[in-house]
Amino acid sequence: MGVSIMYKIMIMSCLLVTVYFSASSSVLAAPKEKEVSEIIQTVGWTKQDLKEFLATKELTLDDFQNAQALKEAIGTPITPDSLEELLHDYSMTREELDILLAGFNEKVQDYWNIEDLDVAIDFYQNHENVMANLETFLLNAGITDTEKNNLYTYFKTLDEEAVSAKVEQWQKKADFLNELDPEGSLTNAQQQELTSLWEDIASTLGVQPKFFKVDDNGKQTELSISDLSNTELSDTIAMELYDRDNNLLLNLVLSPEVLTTSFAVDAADKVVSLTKLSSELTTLYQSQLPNTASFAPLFLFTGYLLVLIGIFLLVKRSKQASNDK
Amino acid sequence: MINKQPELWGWLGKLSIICGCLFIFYNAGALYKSHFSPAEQPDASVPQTVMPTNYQEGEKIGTLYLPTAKKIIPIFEGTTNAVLKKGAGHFSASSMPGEANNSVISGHRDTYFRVLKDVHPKDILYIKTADGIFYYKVRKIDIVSADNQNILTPKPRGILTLTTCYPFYYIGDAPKRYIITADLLN
Repeated sequence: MGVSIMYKIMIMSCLLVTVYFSASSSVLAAPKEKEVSEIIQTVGWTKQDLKEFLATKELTLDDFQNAQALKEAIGTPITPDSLEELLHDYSMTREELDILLAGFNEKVQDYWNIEDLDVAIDFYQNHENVMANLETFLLNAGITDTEKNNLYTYFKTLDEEAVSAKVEQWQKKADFLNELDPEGSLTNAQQQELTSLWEDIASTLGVQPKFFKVDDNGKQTELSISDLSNTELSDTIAMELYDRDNNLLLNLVLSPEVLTTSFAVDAADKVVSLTKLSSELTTLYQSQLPNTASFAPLFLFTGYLLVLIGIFLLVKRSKQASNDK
Repeated sequence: MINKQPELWGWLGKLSIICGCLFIFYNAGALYKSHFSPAEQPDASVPQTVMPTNYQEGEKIGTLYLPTAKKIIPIFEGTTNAVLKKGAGHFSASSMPGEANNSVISGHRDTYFRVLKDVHPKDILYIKTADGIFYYKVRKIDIVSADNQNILTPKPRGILTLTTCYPFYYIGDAPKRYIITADLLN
């Protein structure tokens, strides 16, 4: 009883807050009746369609500042024609699309507009490949599962806007370096470019790499990034990567054969992809659904049974005792 | 048999009653706690703390509110047996509630998540964590086999996936899973 009253109060206060904000923020009123019917006419919806669409997003017409905002929210409705066009862009058939979505427990009907469906197809088609590609790279570089999780967790805490402002620029640089002859040596300017790319990535992500030269006796000498690119390397290099709070994220041991210019370029390229995906990094593929059976009711039943057996034994014994007397 | 060693059988009877009572109290306690958890009020103010980067297994990450079913369930990190005894568990490989990806929360079908059978499409539910309050609207309910690989997938937008075992009334490891999919609203 008390709970239900509390819920009512809660819901009422939520409503009041919503009403207050929508009233105070929208100097321009909600789209007019006429504008609304024009919009739904152009997208070929009925009033009922609009109502359902708004309901799935828990919105009302008053949440939209003007007709334009409503139009943008509705997007391009999914019609046979618009879907055909989208399928053409991806060179897929309708059947292939259905199979792709079914793999993620979804249907075309789950989407209200072409824009959302477009994002989903792109994501479902490419994300898994990109992730698999990155995983292989990390595995080959000798990064363990724990280190991978550390890295993913750290990347998720990054300021996405600051990073995404830089990503395009990095990608261009990495692409440029990637196109160079992998066998040939870099010019001084290109070397500088590569070093500055790495330094920029490290400072934007707030990570500090530390490099050590390991000689045959296991003695470690610290190196700077520029030392790495300028000196001819014949020793094994150990790398430790720290986050901004000085926690060790991962460590790597790189033999001189691995630590080539092309590796540095490739690694830069992969790290840029990792940051691009920062919020989407996931180890979710191929996971099993958790087992959510508990044995509480069974044990409860066993408990009752034990008590019954006990009582039965005691009764039997006392009867026996009285018989014996 | 009993007339040969009445004392022994008497002791066995008492022992069996004591064990039975322990079983009953322990399990009834767990069931009672999950069904009648104290109804704390959600605090409308969003805490301004910086979010911790990584939760340890068993650490409380937030609270799930099911207003239509009148239930409030604590959420802990991880989905091991020990965690699921305390409340619902956040599947560690999935994203956190409120993120633009798939967030998976599981619970025992006979304790904390038995209530899922009273959740219906279009219900609103919400989760409060250190990052804020996130509202979700239930899109659909599926019953899939336990080895289904299509549920735990990344998503391009905010999705909440609640899972529990199915059938709800079943003894032992259930062959199916009950899946509620909800869309992030804010």
